[in-house]
Amino acid sequence: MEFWESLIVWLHLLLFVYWLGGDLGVFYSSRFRNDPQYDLKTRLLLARITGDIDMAPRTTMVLMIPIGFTLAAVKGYLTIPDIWLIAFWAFGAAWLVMVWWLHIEKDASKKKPWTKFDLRLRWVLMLVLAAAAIYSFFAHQPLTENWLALKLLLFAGTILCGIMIRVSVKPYVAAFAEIREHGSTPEREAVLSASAGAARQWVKAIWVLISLAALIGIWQPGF
Amino acid sequence: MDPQTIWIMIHVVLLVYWLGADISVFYCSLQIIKPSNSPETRAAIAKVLGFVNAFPGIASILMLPVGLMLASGKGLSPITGGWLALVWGLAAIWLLISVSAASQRGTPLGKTYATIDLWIRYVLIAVLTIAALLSLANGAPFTSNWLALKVLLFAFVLVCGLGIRFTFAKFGPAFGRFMAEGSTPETEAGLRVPVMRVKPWVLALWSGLVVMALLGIAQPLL
Repeated sequence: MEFWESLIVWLHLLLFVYWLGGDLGVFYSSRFRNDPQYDLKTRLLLARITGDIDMAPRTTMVLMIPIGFTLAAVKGYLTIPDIWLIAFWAFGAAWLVMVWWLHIEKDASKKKPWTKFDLRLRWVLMLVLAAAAIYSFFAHQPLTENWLALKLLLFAGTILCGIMIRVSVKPYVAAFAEIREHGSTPEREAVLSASAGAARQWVKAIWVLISLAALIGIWQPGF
Repeated sequence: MDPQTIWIMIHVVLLVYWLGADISVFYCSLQIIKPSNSPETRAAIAKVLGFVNAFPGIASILMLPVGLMLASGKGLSPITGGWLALVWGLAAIWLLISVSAASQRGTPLGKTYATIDLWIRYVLIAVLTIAALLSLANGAPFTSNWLALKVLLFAFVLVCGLGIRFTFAKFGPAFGRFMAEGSTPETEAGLRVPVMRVKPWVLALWSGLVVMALLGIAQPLL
């Protein structure tokens, strides 16, 4: 393998490592945020720590798009002209800046329109990538290999899971805000744990999807 | 599917739960020394840290037999067949000892397990270093130089792991004191010093792992 090709494969691998591996800390630390036996201050702080660690998987997911497409291009599996990679990188960089800004900025009113935009962007991206993957199965473009198209479809699936996490934590966010302002009640805690439980299922689905995508990437079956 | 595909996948997943999980461990260790965090918060962080930290411990032990399995599948290692089964058996015992040392920490038995685990690591570091240097010089036991280099780097990350263990040994008792006596300049320093000293070892270990990953992907002719 050429050195540059190896380098891109390596970056692609490291993204997977920090996506799935980072999620472990997120998954476990979120438990304490949801546990009423801890005082509110601890829960708020643990929520912040969980959010910080979550930036590892969030960052890697965004970067997976430019790195993944660059790898496809280097391997000769992408039919669109290489110049388009600049667009993928520009998009990835811009989106990454936005994702980080949304994490760092504390002013909720300032963030609100951008949070909404981020969610819409994910819907659009999910649909576009899924369409490109399905089209590739039939037309062998923009991706020439079926296994790669399947990987793209799985990736679109992870975006969908991410969207579903955001949808399923809506009651959670509201209940958590109520707990913060008016204190813990069994009803509010029940909403919290039900909502967190629903989100967990989507998180686990992401783990399955990206692990499958990794296996297919290593396997590269012809079908 | 080629069985080699499955082993590469396992090899990659082990890296995920070693290097990828370590980022949470590292971040939690920085939060646990923050004086602005309450003792209760820090006790919760300690639980997260303890849980996540078990993964790199297990993954690092399994990496060796899985790596040798891959190497033998590629015809790059003389350890095959029955010898490979022996490696797996020894790795299983090592894993059991290491997990027992962690789960029975603080008991005399836990201490015995930890000592055995330590000696296993000393022996492994010596054996792997010698095998790697011999291979680089003579082309045996490992026929490829990139693989010999990976073996050498594995010995290096084991050394880093020991560095982490020794510098971080003071953290447990310091944390106990902190929880008993509360936040004082002394108890805070007791927590901070091991975390600061462990940092270079952690960064060295990560560097070793990412270089090993690149070598495994590129498999350059050296």
